[in-house]
Order: sequence, then structure tokens, then C-alpha cells
Amino acid sequence: MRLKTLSAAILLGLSLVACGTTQTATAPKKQAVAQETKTAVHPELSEQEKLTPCAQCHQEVTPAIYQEWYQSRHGLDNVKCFQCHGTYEDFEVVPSSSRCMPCHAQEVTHAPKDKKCVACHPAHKFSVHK
Amino acid sequence: MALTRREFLKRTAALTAASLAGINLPFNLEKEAHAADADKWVRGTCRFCGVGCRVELGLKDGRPVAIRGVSQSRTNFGFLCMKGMLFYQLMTHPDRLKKPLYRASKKEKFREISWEEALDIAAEKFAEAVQKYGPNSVAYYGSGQALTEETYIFQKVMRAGLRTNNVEGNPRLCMASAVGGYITSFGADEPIGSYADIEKAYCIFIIGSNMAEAHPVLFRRVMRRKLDNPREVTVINADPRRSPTSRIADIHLQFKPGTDLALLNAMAYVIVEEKLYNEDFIKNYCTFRVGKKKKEVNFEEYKKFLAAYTPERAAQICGGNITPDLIRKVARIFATSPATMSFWTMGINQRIRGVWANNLIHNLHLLTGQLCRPGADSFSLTGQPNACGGVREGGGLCHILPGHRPVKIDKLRHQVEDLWGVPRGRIPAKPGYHTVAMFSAVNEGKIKAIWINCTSPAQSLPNCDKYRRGLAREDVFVVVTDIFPTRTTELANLILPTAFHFEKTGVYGCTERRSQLTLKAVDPPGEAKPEVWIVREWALKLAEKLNDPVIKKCVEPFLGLEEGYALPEAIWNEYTQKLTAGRDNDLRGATYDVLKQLPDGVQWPAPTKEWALKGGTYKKFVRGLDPLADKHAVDEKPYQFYGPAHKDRKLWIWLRPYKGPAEEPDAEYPFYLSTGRVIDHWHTSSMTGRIKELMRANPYAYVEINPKDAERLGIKPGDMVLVESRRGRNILPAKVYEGPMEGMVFVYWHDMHEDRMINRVTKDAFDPGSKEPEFKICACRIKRVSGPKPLKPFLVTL
Repeated sequence: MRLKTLSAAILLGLSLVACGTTQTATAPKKQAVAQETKTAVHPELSEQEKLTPCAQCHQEVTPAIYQEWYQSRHGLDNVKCFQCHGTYEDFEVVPSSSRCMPCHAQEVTHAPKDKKCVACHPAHKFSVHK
Repeated sequence: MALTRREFLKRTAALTAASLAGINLPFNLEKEAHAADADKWVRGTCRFCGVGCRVELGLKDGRPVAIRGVSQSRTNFGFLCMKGMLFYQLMTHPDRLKKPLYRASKKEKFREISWEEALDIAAEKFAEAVQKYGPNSVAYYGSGQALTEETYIFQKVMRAGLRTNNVEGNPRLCMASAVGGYITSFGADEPIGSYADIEKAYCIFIIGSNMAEAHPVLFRRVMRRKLDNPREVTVINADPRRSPTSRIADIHLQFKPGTDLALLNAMAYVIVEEKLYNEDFIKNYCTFRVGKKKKEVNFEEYKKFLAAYTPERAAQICGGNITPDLIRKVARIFATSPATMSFWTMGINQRIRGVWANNLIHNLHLLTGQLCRPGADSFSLTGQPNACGGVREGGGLCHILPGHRPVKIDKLRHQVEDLWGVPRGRIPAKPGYHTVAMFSAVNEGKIKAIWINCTSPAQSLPNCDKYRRGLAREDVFVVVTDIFPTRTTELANLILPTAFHFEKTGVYGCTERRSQLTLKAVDPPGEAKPEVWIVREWALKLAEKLNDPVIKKCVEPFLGLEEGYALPEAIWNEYTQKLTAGRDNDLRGATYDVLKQLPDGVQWPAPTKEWALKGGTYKKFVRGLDPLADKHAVDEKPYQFYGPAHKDRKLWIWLRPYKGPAEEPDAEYPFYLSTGRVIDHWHTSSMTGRIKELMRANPYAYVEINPKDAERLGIKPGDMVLVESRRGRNILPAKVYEGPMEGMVFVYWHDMHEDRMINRVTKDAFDPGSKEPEFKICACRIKRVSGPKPLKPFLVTL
């Protein structure tokens, strides 16, 4: 039971962090957890464990985010987690706009400089604007 | 997998619980430079698949730090896949080959030698073989990833210099059936239309292609077309395996591997039976043909032939989810949509009846007139970035000379000899060994010296153990030019380090007849050299050793030129200005200067600079759109099929019967085995395996098993499974999911670990027309050997 409770907490923790702070959580309980966890958290991984595609665990650990991505155009076209977030050596929870440049160079150049792309284009859904 | 999923989640829980107070990411984040840091961008084309995405390499203080797409490009509109955005990492990778390496015996260790010594040895060994055993004892085996300039100069020296047509390359393994299909159906190689037809198509028929993973950036366009017009556009995906491509399909046709010839004939049956054909198009532009002698028959005889392919009978042959009603439904959509575009790749080409399968797709377009109009085309997707430009057009196969000229036609062969200024008769009239025959000749000791460039046949040939034995022979001298160690460098005597993409200049010609220039941006590491320099210097030594001035003549126009730009430009100029002049792939307008001015290169025919600067020809054979259609017009009809192979200037509808695969499952080997790509890896993974993001995303090959088969055989996800055929065996982790149909397994072919190298298991039967092997189908058996085991990704190192 204890493990189950902990897992649930982590699921929330990870998903909220990965969503970024701009996303509004609907359930009050989630908000409470979010306030407690301002810093990104991810378990430490051995080199062997790093050979696991991000989505393999996140499908279970952050299922809502996974589904958002899977149903998005990025998901349909197989744009994978590491293409925006980087990998373990250069990971960013909320990708900086330069991470969007390989595919969206022109848009990044024209976008307002004081905002990250995800401020207007909702993370993992990637609809045109919020 | 080191941990089971449960263990992993358990640890995740424990660690994260402790972290809730707020610990930073537990990774050693390095300050890696990214796109935003680049101070210079150099334009080129992606190094990987056949789509031809335009890219820019970002440099910071001269060091590669990023790649971004070119948004003005009509191929990719700025989008890239993960391979395309990350390959800059390979330029500075510590495993790069940096010095020539040599060993007299394959049992010895390699030692570093100088270029002078290396070229001397290479020339000595080839010269010795030619002198002792004749010109056909030497061979070149190249690549659809070599630049056009490289393939062109290699084949020139081999044919006119060493007097052999033993010039082959890995496009034989991927596109030869498509070439055969285009030539026999349309009289001319390569697609009529362009990618731009996607945005005008209403029915998109994808057969034998997982384009979502093999051509991701082009698939994006198909996806957008469908998502933006969900009701108007229908996507039909025909494949024994459900793949990521199937996700956008309205209809998925799942049939037993190898039965698609029956399916395609049955679609034609419905089109004819229900009078959905375009009578005017057939009358004006088509004839019906049958058999080896290409005998002309009439429509009535074609109807009689089709009588054997009623939807009812085809559904019985095909199995899977195919029903007579489903066949009727897709045939109607195909025929009646305002514009239908077909796509296919290896599922159709890598077959013992690959040419026929190509013909049967073309038949559907010819019957319905779904051709030459915007959005209507029969479009073969090419696997490699320069299989079309370098190999199909540049003369990189044993039976073709540059400019789509068959070797065996005297007039065309003499044309080439005259253009090169070598004596007539210098190029042999007989085609050389095709790929399987070439490596069989190596096995038999008939080939004494072989040069393998930019590819790894030791892993990529079907039934590869058989051919690895030949390459390992002590009496076969093997030269390999590459950037990293591979399964093939393991069998080499001499390894020559080459410059990588953006470390040299040259042209790639992608799937849609489009030639694009990549400029040198950085110097190659260590002593690595561009291939064009290597061939030129080697040829000079060959000329000396064989005391043959004609060999020197082959490279004479290129002597003394600087290798980073002037040398490839001179080779490109000779090829385009002389060899493509007056041919259907006329590229005279596409000079380096013109190519540099355009964001996305030129589509041939492009006979003049003025036409090339407009981007070239979007659609072949259409008057007003194709300058050669106007030039070669013989009547007032809007379409002029001037292709060099059909003197009657007609498109041929072929009577091609259903024929199954070379090896069907039986009691002993009850499963179909098929193989293919994953999005993260390229071919034998010698490059993508060295990009950490890509290796982590797909560290091993898996065997995909249908859940029903897995349950029956007690196989769970991650279990180690033996996959065994009459030729060899693999032991791979299982992926259990509704991908392959019941009775079929599917394995990724990039992994170079001995236990997971699936070409040790595949079959080397080949199409008698195209000589392309049937990688896609053979019989195997599978068995669970253990639970999950921790596996290490594997790369060959020196």
C-alpha cells in the first residue's frame, strides 16, 4: 500500500514538473503537491537504465502527458521526447526555445524573445496557440 | 534491459519520494552548445534517407554544434527528423577513422600507414589481379550514400580504366525493382511527379512502406494532408504489419506476406469489372504487354487474364483482414478519387517478384489515368539520399552507364567512350556482376580485389554469413573506405578514412529527381580524405603500375584541382555537361553556381540554367511543364512519353500473375520473418549508434511478435527469443504488440551484435529481373529461450 501511495505521489510530481509551472492543475490536491515540488525530480539512473526510451516509463509514470503527446502531431510523426527535452547530458524540463530550432527555426526567430515557445504553444499538445 | 519494469518503477518511487523536498536533476548536465550558439550556418542536404531534406549545419568557432531545417525548401519546409537534427555529432566523434590502416593478412592486426603507402598497396593489388586474372577479377561495390561525384569517378576508373563493369552498390538491395518497374511500365526510370503532389492528392495509397519511420519528414506532409482534410482525403495503408504509418490510415489492408500481387490484380479486376477505368487515357497512352518477349495483347486478353483474380479468390490468397468487399471498396476509392497517389518502398521492392509488384501498382494508375495530373502519381520512395542521383543516374550499377544508358547498347556505350575520350571498346559490352553474383564470385575466389565504399555488406547482405566467409578469404584483397569501423572493416585488408558529409562538397539526388548541393563546412578529422581525391590518386598509381595511359586519361581533367570544392565541381561539370546532355536526366542547367542560388536544388530535366533556376521540372512528360515533353512532342496530345526504353512511346499495362515468396512457412519453419527500419537508426547503425540520443531511444533490435502468437508460445515482453531459419539464428528480446499479423514476426535490421544481426537469418533469393534480394520474406521458427536479460548495445570498434 505504502508503495502504491508513494508511486501516485511521484506520478503527480513528475507530471506536474514536466508540464511546467504555467499549466493549471484542476484538482486542488494536485495544486498542493505542485507547490511543494518546485524543483524537477527524476530518479538517478545507471548507464544501463539510460538505455530505456523515455516514453517507455513515462507511458506509465505520466500517462496524461504521454497521451497528449501521442495524439499530437508530434506523436503522430514520431517526434520523440529527446528531440525537445534533450538527453541526460543536456536535459531541460521546460525546453528553451532554441530546442525548437532544428524544425522551427523561422518561427523561433520571429517569436517574442522574452517568452519560451511553450508559453504560447501548449507543451505536448502543440496546438497552434493556447 | 537491466531491470524489469516493476523494479524500475519501484526504484523510481523510492528515489522520488526522497526527492520531493526538492533535489535537482541527478544528471551531470554539460554545457553543450546548441542552435542558438551557432555563429555560422552552411547549407546542405541531410545525410540519411531519400527524402532530401535541406539542412543547415551550425558552427560555433568553426566547430559543428547544431543542424536546422531550411524552411524555404520544398522538400521538408524546415522540418527534420531526429537523425537529421543530430548527425553533426558524428563529425567530432572519437571513433572516427583518421589514418589509413593496413594488414597483409586478415589474421593480423591493423597498422597505421601513410596515404602514399596505402594508395600504392591498393593500386598494386588491383593491378596484380587484373594482370594475373583479367579485368573481371576486380570489383567496386558502392553506395546510395556516396556523392554523385564519387560514384561517377569510381565507375569511370573501373569501366574505362580497368575495363570491367563490375560496378555495383547497395541500391541493388533497395531500389533495383523500382527501376525495373519504372522502365518496363513507363519506359523511363524515376517518378513522373513530385512530393508537391501530396498536397493535391485525395487518395493516398501506401503499400509496403513504413514511411512514418523510414521517411518521417515526407510522412509529415502526408499526415498534414490527411489531418487538414479529414473527410476529403482517404489514406489506405497496405502492409502485413501495422506500423506507425497505419496510425493515419482510414483503411488498413493486412495480408499474408507476399500475397500483394494477388491483391493488386484483384483491385484491377474490380476497376475493369465496374468500368472504373479511364478509357481515353488507355486509348491514347497505353498498351497491354505480356511475358519475357513483351508481347503486345489487347484489352480483352487483359480482361481474360484478370478473371483469375476475382476479389473472392484474392481474399482467399491474401488472408489477414482482406475480404472481397474490402478489395472492392479500396479499388473504387483508388479509381474514383479526384487524384490518387501511391507510395511504396522495400515491402514491394525487396521481393523475388519486385518488378512485377511495381508493375501492378503502375497498372492501377494507368487503368484509371491517375497519372500526370496534379496529385495523381505512382511514386516509389527511395531509401537512400543518393540512390537516384548518384547510382541510378550516375552509372553506379553493373548494367547502366551514366545518364540512364544501358551498358549493352553499343551506341550508348560508344557515346560514353567518346565523351570520355577513351578508345571505343574500352568499356566491355557485357554487364558486370550484380550484387549477389558479385559476392558469390568473391566466395568462389573469382574476384581477387574488391573496393567497398561507404556501405557495410558484411551486415547488409541477406544471408550475410555466407558472404562474410568469402570476404574473409585470404586470397581476396578487400579495401574499405568509410568513416567508422563496421562489420565490413573487420574483413578488410586496407581501411581508408574518408571525409564525412559537410567535410567535402558534392551533390545528392533525392527521390523526386531533385539534385542538391552540400558544401564543405569543416575539415575532415586527422588524415581522412574525400573519396574523389582518393580515386584520382589511386588511378594515377594504377596507370603507372599497369603502364596504361587510358587509366590516367580517366582522371586527367581533374589533375591538380583542390579537393574540397574545385575537384568535385570539375567532376560534376563533366558528368552533367557531357554525360547528361540530351538524356532524360538532363542536368546541364544545374551547375554548382545555380544549385547554390536555390534553397532546394533542381529537379531534372533541367537542360538550361534558366529552367534550372526556376527549380526544374515538377512533372515529367507533361507539355508546358517538362521542356523535354515539348522538345520531343510528336503530336498534340498533352502528355508525351519520350522515355528511352519504350520506342512506341506508350505506357505498358502488364499481365503479371500472382507469385508467392521464394520461401513460404511450413511445419518446420512456421513463421514469416520480415525485417525493416526503426526511425532512430540508419541502415547498419555505424553512424546512428554513435549518437547517444538515438542509441538510447533504440539500443537493440527486437523481434516483434503478435500477442496471439506470443501467448500461444508463452513469450512475454522482454523475453529472449530464438529466431531461426535454414540459414542462421538470432536471439533477441521480444516486443509483443499488434504490429505483425499472426503467424509473422518482424525484426529491425540495424543492430550489429552477432546475436541480433538479422541478415544472418534472411534469405538471399532474388528477383530474376531486378536481381534485388527478397529481404522482406522468409520462413523461420521462434522459441522462448529465457526471461529478460540485461543487454548491451554493440558497435564494432577497431
